[in-house]
Amino acid sequence: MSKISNLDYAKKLVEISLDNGEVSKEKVTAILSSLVANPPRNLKKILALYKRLIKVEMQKYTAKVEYSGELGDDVFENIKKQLSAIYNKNITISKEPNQAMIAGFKITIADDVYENSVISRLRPLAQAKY
Amino acid sequence: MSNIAELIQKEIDSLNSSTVKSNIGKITMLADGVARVDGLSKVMSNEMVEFPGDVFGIALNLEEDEVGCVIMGDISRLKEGDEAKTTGRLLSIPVGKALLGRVVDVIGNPVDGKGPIDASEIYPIEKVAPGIIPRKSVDQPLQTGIMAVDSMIPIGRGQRELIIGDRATGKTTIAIDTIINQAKINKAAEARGDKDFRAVYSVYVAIGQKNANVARTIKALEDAGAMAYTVVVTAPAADNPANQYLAPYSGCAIGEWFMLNGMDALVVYDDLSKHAVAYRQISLILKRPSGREAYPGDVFYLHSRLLERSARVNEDNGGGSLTALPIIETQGGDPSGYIPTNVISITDGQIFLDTDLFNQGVRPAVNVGISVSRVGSAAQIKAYKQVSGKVKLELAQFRELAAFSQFESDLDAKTKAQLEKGKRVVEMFKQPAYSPIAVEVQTAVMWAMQNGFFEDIAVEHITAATKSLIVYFESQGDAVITKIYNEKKLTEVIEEDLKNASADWKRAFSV
Repeated sequence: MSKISNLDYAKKLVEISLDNGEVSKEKVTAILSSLVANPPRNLKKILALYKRLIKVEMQKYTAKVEYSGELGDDVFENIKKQLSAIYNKNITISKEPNQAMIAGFKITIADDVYENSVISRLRPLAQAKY
Repeated sequence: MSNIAELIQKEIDSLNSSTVKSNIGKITMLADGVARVDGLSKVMSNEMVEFPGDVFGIALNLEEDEVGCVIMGDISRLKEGDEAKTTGRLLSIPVGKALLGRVVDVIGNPVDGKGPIDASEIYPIEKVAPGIIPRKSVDQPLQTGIMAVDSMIPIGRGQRELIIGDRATGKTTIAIDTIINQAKINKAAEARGDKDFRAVYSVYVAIGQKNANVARTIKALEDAGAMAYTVVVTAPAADNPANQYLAPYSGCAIGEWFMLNGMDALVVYDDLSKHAVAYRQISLILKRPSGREAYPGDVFYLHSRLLERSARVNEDNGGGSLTALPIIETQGGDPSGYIPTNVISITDGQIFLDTDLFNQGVRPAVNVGISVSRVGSAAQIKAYKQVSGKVKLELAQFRELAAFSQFESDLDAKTKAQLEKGKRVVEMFKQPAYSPIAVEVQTAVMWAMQNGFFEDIAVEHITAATKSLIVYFESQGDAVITKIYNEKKLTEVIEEDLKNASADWKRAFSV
């Protein structure tokens, strides 16, 4: 029997944690109980990897919207609609006010970033060599 | 001040800009010039990746969960958890004639303290080599100015000729001599106002060398007035391995620009052994599977994709050329090592430098037996071909006979004559560093040797005699040299002139 690596083990766990492409809380709870009841070798390492991969998986359909100033619910609804169309899946929004941005917004979904803020424009000035 | 004002104006101009989309990742590990980045799911192979603090890297390893990037620049400014961003660009450097006379680093930043470089174009450092259709056969000579090379191992424009040998056998000297000779030829043609002349621009790439050695090389080029036609790309030993890995490709890109714009260029890679070592270091840190001598499996491709970019393109593509002189250092005179055999098989010949010959005072220490130029006499002017056609064979026979005759005291007259001539030819080929000789003068000296003008001079005085004859041809005898330059072949009239000039020199020559 071929040996399965910790990473592959964790990936398999992530696969069975999904329900319609989203991480299911019930399934994760069940998997954790099962792992504690029948611990595999390197349980701690596997759990760490599992946590990281689950986080990555959740980031795929959770958009973190950082913004400065007041934004109405209709704006968030519009963002959600647009992102769901781009990524072809139901995207949930996590709102995070960030006054350091001065004005504008930054949306992070998985490793894609959409940004239009004053701070992002000022950044090259701060880094300029003179 | 104006820089900031321009930057603010640019910001004002771009106030209507839309949202910027980027692909990001986070550094999870950082060691020895390599960063492993989590994320960057849309990064392309060899794409430039931007890190905080104006540090850039190149994505080399695209794995399922992470990306391995080599970092160029100061890695100490980065830390785990820092954000990395894709740029959508391949690593490019400034190219063009503005770089001539300058010393630059691997990304084209000047390191010579002479101010910014006003280059008009940028060019990707990695590019696919020209295919078969745009290429043309190598048939124009690229003279090194070294008699032993130009006569027996002639190099053509667009050729890849390896310079190989142990440490301290004069490999770099041959390359520097060649660069100096190109500058000398360019200057002479400019002085003559020759409109048909095609100048050769040189690129010297120093990989993993001590800064003192690079400084010495630059000084030699400056003293010889060759820097005006030369670009030096440097990735010294103190630089991180990523810079050493990329330096030859940068040098190649600078040279390739000349080729694709209808000009001729020469690029020296000094040396590819250290380049392979830097690549091995990167590959091991990237956890790529290692093979023989711990080099990764694609170490052949590392050099083949670099050297294949040297070519001579046809007239439809501008007719330019890029000649490569890669240098390889052997261990214990053994050319059968992994990297030496790889590069030998890629190049169109090699100049092998022998430690024993070097220690015997034969400099340049070219081992004729295992040195070869596969382009051969197609890259020689006819006049030189006429006088040097048999020299390589004669010298190889001499070496064999010399070894054999050590055990034999009673030799026949023919063998003795061969040995005497061989000794004289060896002495004639001795040439000091950084003093290349014009090919017309070489032809005249070789003619004098082949026609018995050195026969009655004692072997120990041949070097002095050769020097004296060169001086004679460069001063009093320059009429015949001009004739050889114009005719490019030895006519009866030229031979008569050579005979008279040589006889004239012989009368005046005394030890």
